[in-house]
Amino acid sequence: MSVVIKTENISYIYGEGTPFEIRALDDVSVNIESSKIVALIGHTGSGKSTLIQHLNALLKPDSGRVLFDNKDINESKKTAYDIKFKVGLCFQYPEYQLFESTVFEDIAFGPKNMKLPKEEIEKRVIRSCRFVGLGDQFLNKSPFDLSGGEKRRVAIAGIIAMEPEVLILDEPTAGLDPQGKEQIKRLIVDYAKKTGRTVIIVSHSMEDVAEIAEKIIVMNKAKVSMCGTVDEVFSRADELIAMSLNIPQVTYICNELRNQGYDIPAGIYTFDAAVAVLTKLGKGK
Amino acid sequence: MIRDITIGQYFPTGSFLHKLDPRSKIILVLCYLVLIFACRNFFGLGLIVTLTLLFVAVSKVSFKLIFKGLKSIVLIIIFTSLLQLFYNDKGDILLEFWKIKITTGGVFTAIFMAVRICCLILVSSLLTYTTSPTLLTDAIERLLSPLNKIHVPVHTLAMMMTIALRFIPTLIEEIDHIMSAQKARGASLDTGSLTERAKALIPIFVPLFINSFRRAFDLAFAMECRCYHGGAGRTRLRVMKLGYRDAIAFAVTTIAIVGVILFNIFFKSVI
Ligand SMILES: Nc1ncnc2c1ncn2[C@@H]1O[C@H](COP(=O)(O)OP(=O)(O)OP(=O)(O)O)[C@@H](O)[C@H]1O
Ligand SMILES: [Mg+2]
Repeated sequence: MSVVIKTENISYIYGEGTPFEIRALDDVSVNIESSKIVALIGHTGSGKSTLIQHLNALLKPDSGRVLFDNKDINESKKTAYDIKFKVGLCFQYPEYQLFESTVFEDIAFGPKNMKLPKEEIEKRVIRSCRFVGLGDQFLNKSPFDLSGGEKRRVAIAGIIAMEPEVLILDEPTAGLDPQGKEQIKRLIVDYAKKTGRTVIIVSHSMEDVAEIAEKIIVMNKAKVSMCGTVDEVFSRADELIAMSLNIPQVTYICNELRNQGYDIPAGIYTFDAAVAVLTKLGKGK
Repeated sequence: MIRDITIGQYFPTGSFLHKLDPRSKIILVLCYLVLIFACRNFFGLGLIVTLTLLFVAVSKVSFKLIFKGLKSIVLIIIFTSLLQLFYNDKGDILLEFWKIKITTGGVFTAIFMAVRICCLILVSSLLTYTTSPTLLTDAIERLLSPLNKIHVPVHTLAMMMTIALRFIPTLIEEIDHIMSAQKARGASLDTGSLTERAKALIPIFVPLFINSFRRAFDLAFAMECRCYHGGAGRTRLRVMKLGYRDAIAFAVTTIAIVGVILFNIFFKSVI
């Protein structure tokens, strides 16, 4: 599988030379393969948001390189600007960055900056607005009259409308109600499936990660401490717990049942898988 | 980056200066500012420079950081010095060509100006480097409290100042965040014509204002929930007391004042 984004030993320090110096990234090397859903997890303050801002050249590494399609994205001002359209980044709480008078205009901000023709912009705006589950009647509303969850979707649509090859979402479900969380999660999976593009998602919910991710990157204290499939990462429960992280709750339950002598295989990470195994177990009796 | 601005920031290093009573710090800084402009010869100036460097050393704030703060005003210093150099025609002529005359008076005034501005900035920024904004406004409130008698709302003004100071870093962080978010959507802030650049500010300032209003309402509610009702009858958690450190600081300042006055009397003034 081809690698789209690759970071080579990047380090980054906030406030260098001040008493508030913080090493937010320390020698981080990761590969992001194309057409995968990649989850980035880690304790708060571990450097996740800092890392993803390097992937579209918002931050420049103090040392090391970030490669997109094997080209250094910080080579020139132009490459650092153009990468923003190839790697779309949606920040934490993106609803606080809406500014236009209508939803349409706000979603169109990115495509307009790409200097696309007018018809294309309109097509993309309508398409991405529908995609995030907002009807056409929203297009002429003011973004400030919407609910929190709707605003969030408008903001995500604004990134999707640029049709980036890699979509990065920083905690897209933070602060939403359970239904809103579920919808955003479905949206991400749909997006990845329909477009075949890469999605990187930062999340604190191990359940969500287990359900949708194909690869997990674990960050701890400015370093990448694990990287692998859902199985590879969640089978190292003790290490995760030592990093103030966790494994999905169903995995706990299944592990505990197995310890008590029930015939349950290891590696149950999602609710659906647990239901299937437990029903089989129940019928077997 | 916008976060690199250090003037007006607070650096908690726990030094002697940090432990001084903020009220005495304000009064002493005012004394030094007057002193900087009162000295009229190089002996006095030397004394002041020595003391300023001593304060910087005592504050334990790194030299690198403090001089980075000075860097931003280098242009102003050079400009005023040059102005003095060319327009002052007192003293002996050192150099003369075309219409420009450079005199000893001009050179001395230029040097004085440059050194004075540097000391001025250093001393006053040391005040903010070593005093947290809340303590600073608290001290101002107390120093100004006699004005209450003539119905100046000192407490309200101090509270407004505290809140304003408190939110400067928050706003800077917020601007930084919004700028990143809009840059991620391809906003370019440093290219294009003047009108384009002015237009590029809209995506930053609209969310900034909206979020600020939201925050102001939140803060007002939070203050009300904690029964804030202005200054009347409010007691303090931290009562300011003068200590031996303040005595030392006042002694040093008195010596400096006497020194500068004596130098002014016994030596010829050069400007
Ligand atoms: N703009 C900044 N200036 C200074 N320090 C910062 C800045 N942004 C982040 N940091 C610091 O860098 C470290 C890493 O922060 P980062 O935002 O990358 O963490 P995170 O993994 O995204 O955490 P969270 O899960 O809470 O979002 C933290 O210690 C944080 O305090
Ligand atoms: Mg974060």
